[in-house]
Amino acid sequence: MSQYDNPFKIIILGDSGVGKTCLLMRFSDNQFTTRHRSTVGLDRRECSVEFADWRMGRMLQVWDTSDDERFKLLKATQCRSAHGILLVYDITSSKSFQNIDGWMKEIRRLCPDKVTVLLVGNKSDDPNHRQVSMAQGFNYAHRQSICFEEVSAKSGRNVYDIFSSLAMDIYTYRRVHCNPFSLTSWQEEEDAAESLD
Amino acid sequence: MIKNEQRPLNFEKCPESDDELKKRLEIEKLINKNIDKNISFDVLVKLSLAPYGLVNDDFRRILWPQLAGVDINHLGQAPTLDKFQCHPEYNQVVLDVNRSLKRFPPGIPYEQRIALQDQLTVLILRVIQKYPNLRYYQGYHDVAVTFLLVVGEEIAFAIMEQLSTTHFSECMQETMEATQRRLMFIWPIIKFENPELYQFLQNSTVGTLFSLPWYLTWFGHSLTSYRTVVRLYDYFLASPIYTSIFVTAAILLYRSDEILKEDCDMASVHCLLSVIPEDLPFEDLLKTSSSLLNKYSLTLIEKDVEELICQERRKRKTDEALIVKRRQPATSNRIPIITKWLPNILTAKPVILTTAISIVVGVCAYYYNNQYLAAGIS
Repeated sequence: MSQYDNPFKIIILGDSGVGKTCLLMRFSDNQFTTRHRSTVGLDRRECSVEFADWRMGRMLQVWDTSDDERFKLLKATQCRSAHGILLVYDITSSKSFQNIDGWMKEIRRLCPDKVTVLLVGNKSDDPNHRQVSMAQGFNYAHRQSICFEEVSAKSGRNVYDIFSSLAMDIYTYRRVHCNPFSLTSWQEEEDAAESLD
Repeated sequence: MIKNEQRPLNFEKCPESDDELKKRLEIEKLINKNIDKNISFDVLVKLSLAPYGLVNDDFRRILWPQLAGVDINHLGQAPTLDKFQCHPEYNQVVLDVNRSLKRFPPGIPYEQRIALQDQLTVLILRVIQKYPNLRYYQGYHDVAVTFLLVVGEEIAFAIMEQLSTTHFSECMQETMEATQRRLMFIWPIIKFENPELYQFLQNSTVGTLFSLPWYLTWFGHSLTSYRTVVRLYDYFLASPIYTSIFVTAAILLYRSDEILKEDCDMASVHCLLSVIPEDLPFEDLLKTSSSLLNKYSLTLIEKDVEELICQERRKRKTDEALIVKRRQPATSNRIPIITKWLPNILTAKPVILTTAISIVVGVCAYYYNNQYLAAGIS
């Protein structure tokens, strides 16, 4: 079974203007622009990420989302089948960080137990306007038992890391929880799960 | 794979075809025949629906207000931007406007662009301030900027005010339920016209989200040709609220061969449908749309949509039951002690251990290399 047959499905969530689309464009096209349009509905990219440890690849199916709050209903169906979520805030906007807790509650409500979340603090290239310290981000993530990284879509720092880290966490989680007795037959378990969705 | 880049809006002008020239002269004659430049509404609608629509922006400046049913002789003056800074949607609108620069003509001077941005922000906030029951949605700015560019800010406000209470009122409700339901109108049309395509799309579970931006912005968000956008606005201004659904159906039917060749899964089909090809024959598609509009009554479509909604509700309940059933065996079969042990061997520790070993090996190699060199020297 090749890496293309069962892509990991990742959704990018967070407040408006925190840089969700910029992160995706930096990751998939290695480009950055401040002049992209706001996302209306859904936008999707497919990218491949290599796992250093296992020397195997995994196709990522990354969904960018509109941040109009009334689209939440529409995103529910997306979240329900997601493997992982990048939850993004802007380190220069304390409000976007405060809203993370609301997003987490929404994720817990909408997503199945198996979803893996990674908290992302974007715009780390702009320390002069920082309003959210790294410690705040780290402490919140720790309390929620999720991983945390600061990135910059503009400079590209850590952008690849967050996607590969999330992919690895998804992979690891699924190996452990989908079939704890067998480390080699998890693919069959996943196929069975996919056919039921 | 389709490259879904953020394509800038193309403002390029095309050479005028003979038919287009004939149309232009016809409209010119009609406008000049009337002392107040008003054309009878029936004639205006026919012109807007017919190929090439209203042809150019000079005509649109005169005729769009008439199509929208606004009186341009009683326009208020636009307030300044600072009057809106306390509006709850102010920040969101400014954010969206700042991200809509690609909708402006390229190469305009910086000062003019800033002025247009401010005008666009004021234009949007004026409407939603005047009608507090209407909810701003992302994509509204793509509609507003089209009118701003064609008719200027005063007339644009009058038109947007009108459309926000008619054509776009459904999109500006407290929730998106009415919009979601409206998008489902696509399915009966496809089912009746091309059952194979309908079945394929249902099997892929693509849903209707691919067409949401089209419905919310009259394709303004998704098309890259300014000329095509304003041509479509001619058509939609002269049509009922749900007309963009029929244009969507026309596009799907036109692309049916291409769609049927795609992998039949949600992501692949959504991605294919979301991007509108550059070279679609829009005049033909608008003819198809008008034909479909005449062919299918709303009553028939609504009845079919109602059945679809019931089906989806039943399916969701079935799926949820299956999910619950699937979770139970895994939980009951799990042995806690193994679960606790397994995560440890698969977390970052192996990475740390591997790294440490690598360092030790490196240090040893360095040490013995030095010893060898020392022995060699002596």
